Amino acid sequence: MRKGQNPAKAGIKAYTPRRLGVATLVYIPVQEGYFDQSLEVFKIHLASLRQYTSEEFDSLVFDNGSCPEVKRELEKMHEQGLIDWLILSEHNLGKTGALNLILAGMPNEWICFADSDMLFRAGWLEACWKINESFQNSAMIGAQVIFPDWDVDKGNTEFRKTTDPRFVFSKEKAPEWLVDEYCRARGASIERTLVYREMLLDKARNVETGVEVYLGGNSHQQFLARRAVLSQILPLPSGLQLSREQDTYQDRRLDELGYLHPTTTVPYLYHMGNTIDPEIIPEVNRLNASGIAPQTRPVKTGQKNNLLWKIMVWLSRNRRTRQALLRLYKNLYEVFSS
Amino acid sequence: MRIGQNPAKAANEVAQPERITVAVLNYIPFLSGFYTECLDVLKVCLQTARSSAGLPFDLMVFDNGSCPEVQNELVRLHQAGELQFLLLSEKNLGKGGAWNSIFSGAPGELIAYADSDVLFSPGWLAKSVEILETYPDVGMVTARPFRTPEKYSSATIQWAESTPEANYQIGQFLTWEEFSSFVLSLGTSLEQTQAWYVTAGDMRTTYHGVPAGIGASHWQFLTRKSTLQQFLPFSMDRPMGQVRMLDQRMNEQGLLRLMTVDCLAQNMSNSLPAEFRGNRKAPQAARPAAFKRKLANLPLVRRVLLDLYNRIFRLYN
Repeated sequence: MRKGQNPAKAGIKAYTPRRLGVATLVYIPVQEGYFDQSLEVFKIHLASLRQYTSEEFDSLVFDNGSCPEVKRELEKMHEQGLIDWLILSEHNLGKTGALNLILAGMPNEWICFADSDMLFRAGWLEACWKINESFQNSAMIGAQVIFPDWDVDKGNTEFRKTTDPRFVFSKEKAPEWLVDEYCRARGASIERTLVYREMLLDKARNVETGVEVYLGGNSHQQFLARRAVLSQILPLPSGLQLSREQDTYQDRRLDELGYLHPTTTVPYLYHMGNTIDPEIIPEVNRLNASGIAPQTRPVKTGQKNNLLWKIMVWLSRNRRTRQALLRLYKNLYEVFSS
Repeated sequence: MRIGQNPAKAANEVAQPERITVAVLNYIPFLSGFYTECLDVLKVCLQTARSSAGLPFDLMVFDNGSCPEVQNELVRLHQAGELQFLLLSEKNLGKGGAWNSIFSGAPGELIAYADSDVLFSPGWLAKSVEILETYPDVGMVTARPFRTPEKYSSATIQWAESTPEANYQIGQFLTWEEFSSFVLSLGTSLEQTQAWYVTAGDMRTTYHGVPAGIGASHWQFLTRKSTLQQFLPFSMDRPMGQVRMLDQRMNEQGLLRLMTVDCLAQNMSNSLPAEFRGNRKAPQAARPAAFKRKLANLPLVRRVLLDLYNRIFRLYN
């Protein structure tokens, strides 16, 4: 039975989610073999996200049935405030099964999804916001062009027919360094690299703003999208752990709904895969320790600026006064419960 | 860079969620005062939900910013395979915010929601599902009969009165034990409970051979995920206190709000029932001296002290 008064009913304001939420999907079933360095890779991912995301965000990590050691590590990071929402799943639901939970459940207006092996680079978010402003009706904005996804024209067919004079279209090969970096990161063969070097990419430019995008090379490895748009295509089909067909369902559905899938023309991501490539060690070293430190905490909800509150906040920081305040709290509880 | 082949790509199929997700929302900011026994209460809630449902389900817990001791215990339960999904939020999103995440994200076709202080009895889920699947246009089913405000069940009453196959009855169907066990658990005085018991009646209906009480409540209910979608998102910005909206809106939509006729869910609130206490004694709040109580009950003093009590809570919340 209820004894006393529940202080949570005293009208305290709940946390208001930030505009942006970033979700990372983790699956490390063992810490050996293919997954030997995966936890380290994930930590680098998180550090890069924290260091190079230019506005405050809520971070969500969905663990899709990893081994207990990894789950414990994630729990520790959650306790340290490095992860705002941690979802632990007993079983692997597949990527799209996890996305169903993530994309439906996140409360933020904008959601950035990323695989746990994505290294973010400075400017990624600013570049994505610029694309959103210059290319309205963008559904998924990617921070790196994905070459195989070029085969399917995602969400841009109608846009290409536009007669709006603000937009100009061209076909261009990607710079060689970009292709080589892309292929090296994915362990692609030299034959595949040569194919990508010759590939003509569709580029669009907003002449008013000067913002350029690649059209059609967006993918599921990372995207920034408005929650309201994503909710139109949920739930995604799920049945396989990593299925290309299921994975691209959301691209195809958004395409059918007429949304754009642009990407930046500069790679603001590096696909780390399952190892830390020697080529990116300088980049990794630039991630300072503060990158994995908690973000500046928001002012406590319900906080007032009056003198009594300020004194109490000040007192609460000291171990002894904290104990005294908690004792006082307990005594007051007893008074009100008696 | 990627070296080798990700073995996950070779797997043919992944685990599919159960048809029913039982979702429990929890918030225990610290383990003293009001919350002294709440972790034990939570454990009993999860244990009885799991052991006595009568149907397979996935158990999901949304922890809305509890203290580390509680979150650690939930992680332990998850690792022991007792929770299929555990959502840990660093901050309290309010009940509405948590509901938005749970009701959008829970993978089951059916969602059985419960506050973290519900004590379940054998068959609670199977009986609730039977009602949900027998009656037409059901919004929510609560796993115990109790008296709820009629205004939130007007659509159900209207349906029961106007449907020939629904045998609608009004009477004193709840025994004193059934009635009082719930009302007293809310902290209501015995006198008040007795007065309520004799001054009002219960409403029941039987449809296609399945009896159900009329009424339901937001603290525990079974519903279809697709039904909940039409009520999302909940725009609630306080941790508690505004959840009546779901009851109200379901009724306005003409959806039935029903209850099992057996008491299969009980409110524990913040204290552990005697049968789960074992040899442990209930924590006794030290009884303040009479003059202190009198002083504390003076309206102005009480207001000041309550304000202080709430401020300390906020400090550590």
